[in-house]
Amino acid sequence: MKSAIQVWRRQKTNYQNLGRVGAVVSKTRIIEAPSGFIGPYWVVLVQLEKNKRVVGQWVDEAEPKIGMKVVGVLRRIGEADKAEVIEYGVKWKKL
Amino acid sequence: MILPKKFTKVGIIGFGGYVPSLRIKVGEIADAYGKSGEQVVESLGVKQKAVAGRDEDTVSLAVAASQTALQRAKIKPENLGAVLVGSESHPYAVKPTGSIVAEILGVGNEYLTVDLEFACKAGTSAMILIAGLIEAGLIEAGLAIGADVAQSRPGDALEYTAGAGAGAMILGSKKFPWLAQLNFVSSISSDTPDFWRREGEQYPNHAGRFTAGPAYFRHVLGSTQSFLDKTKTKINDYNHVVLHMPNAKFPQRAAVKLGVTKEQLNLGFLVPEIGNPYSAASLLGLVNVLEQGKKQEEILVTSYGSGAGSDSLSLTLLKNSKKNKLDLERQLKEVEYINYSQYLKIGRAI
Amino acid sequence: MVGFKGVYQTKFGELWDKSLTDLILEAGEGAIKNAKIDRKKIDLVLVANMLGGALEGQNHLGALAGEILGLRNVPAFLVEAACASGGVAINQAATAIKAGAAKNVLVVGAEKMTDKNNGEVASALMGAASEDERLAGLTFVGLYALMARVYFDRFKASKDDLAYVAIKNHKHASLNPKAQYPFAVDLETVLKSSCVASPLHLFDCSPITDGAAGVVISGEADGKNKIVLAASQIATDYVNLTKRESLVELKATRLVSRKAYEEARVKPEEIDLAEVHDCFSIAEIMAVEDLGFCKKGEGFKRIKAGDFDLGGRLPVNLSGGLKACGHPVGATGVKQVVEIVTQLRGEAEKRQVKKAKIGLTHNVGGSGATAIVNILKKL
Repeated sequence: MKSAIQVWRRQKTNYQNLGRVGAVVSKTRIIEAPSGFIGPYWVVLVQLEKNKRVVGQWVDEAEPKIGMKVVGVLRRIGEADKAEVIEYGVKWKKL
Repeated sequence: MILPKKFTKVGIIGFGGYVPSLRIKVGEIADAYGKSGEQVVESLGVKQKAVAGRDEDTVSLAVAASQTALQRAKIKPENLGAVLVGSESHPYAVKPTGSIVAEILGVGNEYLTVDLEFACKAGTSAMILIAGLIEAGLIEAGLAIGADVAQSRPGDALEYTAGAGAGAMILGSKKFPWLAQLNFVSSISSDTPDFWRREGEQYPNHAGRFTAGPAYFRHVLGSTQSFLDKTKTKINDYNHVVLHMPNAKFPQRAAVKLGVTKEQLNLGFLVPEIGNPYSAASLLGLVNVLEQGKKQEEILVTSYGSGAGSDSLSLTLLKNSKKNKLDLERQLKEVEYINYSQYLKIGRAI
Repeated sequence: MVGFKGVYQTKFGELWDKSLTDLILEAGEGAIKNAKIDRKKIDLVLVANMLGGALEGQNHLGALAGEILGLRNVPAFLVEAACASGGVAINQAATAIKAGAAKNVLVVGAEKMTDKNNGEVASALMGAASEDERLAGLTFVGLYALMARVYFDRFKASKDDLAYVAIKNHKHASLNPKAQYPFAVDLETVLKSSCVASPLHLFDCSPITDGAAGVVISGEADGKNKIVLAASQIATDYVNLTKRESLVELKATRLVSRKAYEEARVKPEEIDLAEVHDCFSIAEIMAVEDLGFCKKGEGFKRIKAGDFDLGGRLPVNLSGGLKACGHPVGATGVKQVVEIVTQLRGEAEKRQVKKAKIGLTHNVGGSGATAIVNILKKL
């Protein structure tokens, strides 16, 4: 079970890319998901600005394209068990 | 009784709506249950509804709408003295949505929050409470949100319309430039069991045809009439009228009874395209009016929440929105259709 | 002089009736027997393992190995560097010997991965990545897939070019009775396999494997035909893929191989055979480039052309590699050394490289945060 305290600590960093704009550098469609996630979903590697890149889940149904301009939006991270605290973070969609 | 005291210190300084981009056609759902899509569309007047992604919830919808509202308001999140979220799908039974939303928006720690629930009218009730705090001079600005990922039992008639969305209204004192002015509010309530969801239950129940006369119509008509009487205004005084939209037929019938014309209903009438996003329904109608209406136009909103009650509010639009800033209009156009199995996979029913 | 006295590898595969401690026991006993050494002379035990704690709540593997192998009161502890644990444990054994802290070191790399379902194992393996990468719902397949796509764009490679890694490694594994998949596969089978994380498909990925390998490394003077560790170097890079300078190379591999060639006083051209870290097909392609066996961007072409086949100019992954021999995470780095020693001794039977004198092992942790290169020479 996810630690509520770790989720709380991660609040400091989980929202920092909310509303930020970047471009897709690479992408992969995860078919076999790790536990805590339900596939399939795209994960993108986004270039935010010089020397700053992030990875995150893609939210649109339409496939991400390399070079696409994207924006960070708030979503649930992973599948929260009924007993767990819900984690929120930034995922990416077409700008 | 809520007194017909005109607000002097409360205006709308920011507003925003968020509707998820996925849509499912009513016909898709009808097919799954051997019903005729055409007949259902005909009887409800709704052709499709918005569907939240699996990783969206009331919090994420509320944040998205609030971000738009904050951009329009041009205030710092720390200026908000209160954040009230009305919903029937708060992610927690105990742990307020308002504090999560406020934290994400960067409101800081100096603010009042408490979660609200009154079926589909909790969003307008949030506006009334925020307005009271501002008028009393206790806060300078406050964020009222109605947001829902509407739950409905698979196969139930509600499934055709139970949608998802969020509307956010930032109200503020004269310290900030007003986009609209709040004039009067009023509210009526009764204990009417038309639609309910017990603690721990995933899906709501409803009383079928009882949800019309003794529930929706009694309160929407009653509240609007009482409001007009108290404020000594007539229905013709308003350029735009937003009535709660659980489907298209109820508000259209109520409009006829109240003498509201199609033109008055038009801008706020989103239900055929997005379905019923519960607590966000009336607020999203209001967002669309604020976005597309013209300066000096008068607006009347009557919401409805099962259980049951209605809030009525009147506003005067003070500023036209720029043509390139029609955010809700863009969201209503940029949609993607899914089928019933995709919908079930998303909706945590599978 | 650090030499290899004894080597042993268990069968790799889905070993349902073997527990983690069974595997440690078999590999340890096997190495001791192969070394023909009195176990009382072992004065240090290093265990390489990554997931014992996460998957079955078993830590303290050094002391546990000492207990089950009857090595009374011996100094023993875990060495962990994710999937590079094995190679690093070999490095640490050599370091202890050179420091005079031990004379005969038993290194056992072991991993038990098949008791849990795929999702749980994929999640546990992501312990080798960073928190951001876990929160993004990534798996290791996904991380290497992100690199693969950039590699394809940069060097005009395609998904189909990846197939030749699996074909080669399976061909080699068909000559290795200890391999998890000791059979060859054809191009059609590889190309048809299902997607795991695009563009990587099933045959681009090393499997989930149980297995162990052990070596006895010694600083004592021994008889003829000595196999020695001529170089052992470690380098690290950012754990988080997004922080790396380049997405088409493993900088840690590039840096560490230079250090290792320098220490061993050899050039890449002088390497006779290598075991490289093909956790995914794209990883082997980048490895042969980063290790200097060919130019950057040429790896997929050279693999397809047969440069790295048995009989080619520099056979790579004669054991079958991680793909076809299997990848019990903590054991792999040790198994790689076992394979090289076996080859240098001339004991590799059907997959023997003729006149093998200098061999190289390349073991990587995570998506490239740790790289360890060992170079072995036959004196």
